[in-house]
Amino acid sequence: MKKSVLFFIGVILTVIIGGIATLQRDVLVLSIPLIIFLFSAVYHKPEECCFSIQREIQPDHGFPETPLKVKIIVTNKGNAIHEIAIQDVLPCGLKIKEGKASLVTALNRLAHIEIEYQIEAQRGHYENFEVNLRSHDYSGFFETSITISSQTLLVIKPHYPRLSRIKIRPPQTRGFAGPIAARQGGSGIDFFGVREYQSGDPERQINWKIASRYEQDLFTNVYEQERVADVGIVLDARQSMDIPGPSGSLFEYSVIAAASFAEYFLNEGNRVSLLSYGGGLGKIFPGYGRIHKDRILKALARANPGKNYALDNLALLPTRFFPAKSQIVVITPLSPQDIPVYIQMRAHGYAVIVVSPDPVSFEAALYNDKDSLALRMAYAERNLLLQQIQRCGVQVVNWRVDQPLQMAARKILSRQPAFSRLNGLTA
Amino acid sequence: MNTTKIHTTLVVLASLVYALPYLFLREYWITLFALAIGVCWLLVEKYKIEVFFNLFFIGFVWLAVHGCLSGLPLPLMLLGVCINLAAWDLTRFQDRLRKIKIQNPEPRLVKGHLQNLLLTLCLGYILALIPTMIQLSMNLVVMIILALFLLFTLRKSVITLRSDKND
Repeated sequence: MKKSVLFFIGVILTVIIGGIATLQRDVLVLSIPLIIFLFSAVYHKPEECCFSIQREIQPDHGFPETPLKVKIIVTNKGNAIHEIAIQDVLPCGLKIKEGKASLVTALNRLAHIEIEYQIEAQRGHYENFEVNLRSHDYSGFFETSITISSQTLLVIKPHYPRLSRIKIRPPQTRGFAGPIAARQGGSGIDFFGVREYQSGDPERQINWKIASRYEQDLFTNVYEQERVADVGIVLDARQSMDIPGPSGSLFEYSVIAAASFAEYFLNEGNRVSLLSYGGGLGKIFPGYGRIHKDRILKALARANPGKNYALDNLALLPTRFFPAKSQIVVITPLSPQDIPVYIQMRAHGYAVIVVSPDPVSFEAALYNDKDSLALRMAYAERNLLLQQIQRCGVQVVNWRVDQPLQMAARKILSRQPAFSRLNGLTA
Repeated sequence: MNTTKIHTTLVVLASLVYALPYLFLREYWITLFALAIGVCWLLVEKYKIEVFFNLFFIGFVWLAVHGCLSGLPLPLMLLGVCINLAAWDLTRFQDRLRKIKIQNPEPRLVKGHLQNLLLTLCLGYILALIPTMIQLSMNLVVMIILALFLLFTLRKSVITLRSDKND
C-alpha cells in the first residue's frame, strides 16, 4: 500500500476519533467526503495490466549521430485505465534528440497510443528495449506497474575515416588480379626481371639493351604480377588493454581503425576476415565484397572489451584461423608480454602490421599532462616497445588518437615494405 | 484545461472559505493562519517543493474541525474540506506528471481526472449534508457497530461494482 493511502486513512481516522472524543456530530460529518473519496479511489483501483507493445526504429541501422525515429504503439488489452504513465527505458548508449520518451494518458479498453521521438546512438548492438507502464486510479492512491521487454534490433556501426594508398606485401597472394605485388613474374606494371625470349612474347617487352650485348639471344622483360591477398584483422578487445575516458574509451579508436582497414582492403578486392580477441573470440570468416563489409561492420558494432582469464594474453591467438602466409593486421594498444606472439606469427610466415592507438598520449590527454617526468618515461618505454616489435619484422603504426588515422597509416604503410625486412632480416 | 490555474483558484477559495468566517468571529490569528497556509501552498507549488502540501492539507482539515467546534456553519466547513481535498488531489496529480517530465498533459486525461474528482466531491458533499437533516440519538456501541457494518457494506458494494465492470 502506498504511503499516501496510509496518510489519508490516518487523516480520516483522526477526524473520526476527534469527533467521537468531543462528542460533536459536525466533526464526524466532516469525515464523510474524505471516506467517499477513499472509496471512490478503491473503486477505480487499476487491475492487472494487459498490454501489447509494438516498436519500430527507422532506420534499424546507421552510424553514430544519425537521427533515428522511434515509434512505440501501446495497446491496452485489459480494462479502461484512468491514468497511465508510459515510459520508454532506453538502453545505455542511446540519447533522445527530439521529442519525449514518456507520456501520461487515459487509455480505454482496446485503445492504442503512439509515442514518437528521435534518438541518436553510440556505436553498438542494441536488442533489448523495455517499456515501463504504471497505471493509477485517478487519485493516485493505487498503482500497478509492469515492465514489458521488446526485441528490436538496432545496429550502430562505427564511424570510420577512409584510408588510401596503403601498400602491403604478404608472402602469398590469391589467384585473382588485384593491387598487391605477388612476387611472381608475369604481366603487370612493376619491373620484376628478365628472361630469355620465347616465341610468342610481345615485341615491345623485349629488352633491347641486354639483347644488344649478345649476338644471337633476345631477352624479354618480366613484370611482377598483381593479385589480391588474404588479410586478417585482429581486434584486441581485452579489458586490460582498454582505457576508459569521458568521451569514449581507447577501444573505440581500435574499432575505428579496424573498420577503416577492413573497408580499405575490401575495396581493393582482397579477402578479409576479422577476429575479435577479448571476452571471447568473435570470428568473421574470410570473404569479399560489399555484403562482407557490412558483416564486418556489424561485428564491429557488437564488439566490446571483455575479460576472459583464458585469453588474458595473445598467446592463444588462433593464427590458423587466417590463411597461411597471409597479411595480418593487429589493432592493439600493445603490451610487452605480447612480443613473443608477433615473433611466432612472423615465424609462421605471416606478414604482420600492428596498428596501435597510443595509450600514453590518450591517457596524458585525460589528465592534461603535457611534459611531466612520468609522461616522458612512459613515452620512452613505449618507444622501446615499438622498436622491439619492429625488429621482429613487423610494421608498426603508432597512432596518436588526436591525429587522423590516415596520416599515421600513410607515414608507415604508403611504401611497399622491403623484401629483406619482411623476411626477418633487418637492414 | 490548465490544472495550475484550477489549483490556484481552489487554494485561494479554500483560504477564503476558512479565513472569512473566522474574521467574522474576530479570530484574527486563525484568519491569518488560514491565509498563510494558502499563500505558502501557492509558493510551494510555484517552487515545486514536494514535501509540504500534505501539511497544508492537514492544516486546512484542522481549521475545518476547529470551525465545527467553534460553531461555524457545517455546510461551509464541508465546502472547505471538499475544496481542500480537490486542491490536494490536483497538487498530487501535477506532482505525478512532473516526475516523468510532462509539462502539457493530454486534455482528455485532465478532463477525465477533473470529472471524476468533481463527481466524487459532489457526492461526498451531498452525502455529508444528509446527517445534518436527521436527528438521531444512539448509543456509542451501537454507533460503532453501525459504522463497522457500513464499512463492510461499502467494501462489499465496491467489490460487486468492480466485478460488474469487468463483465
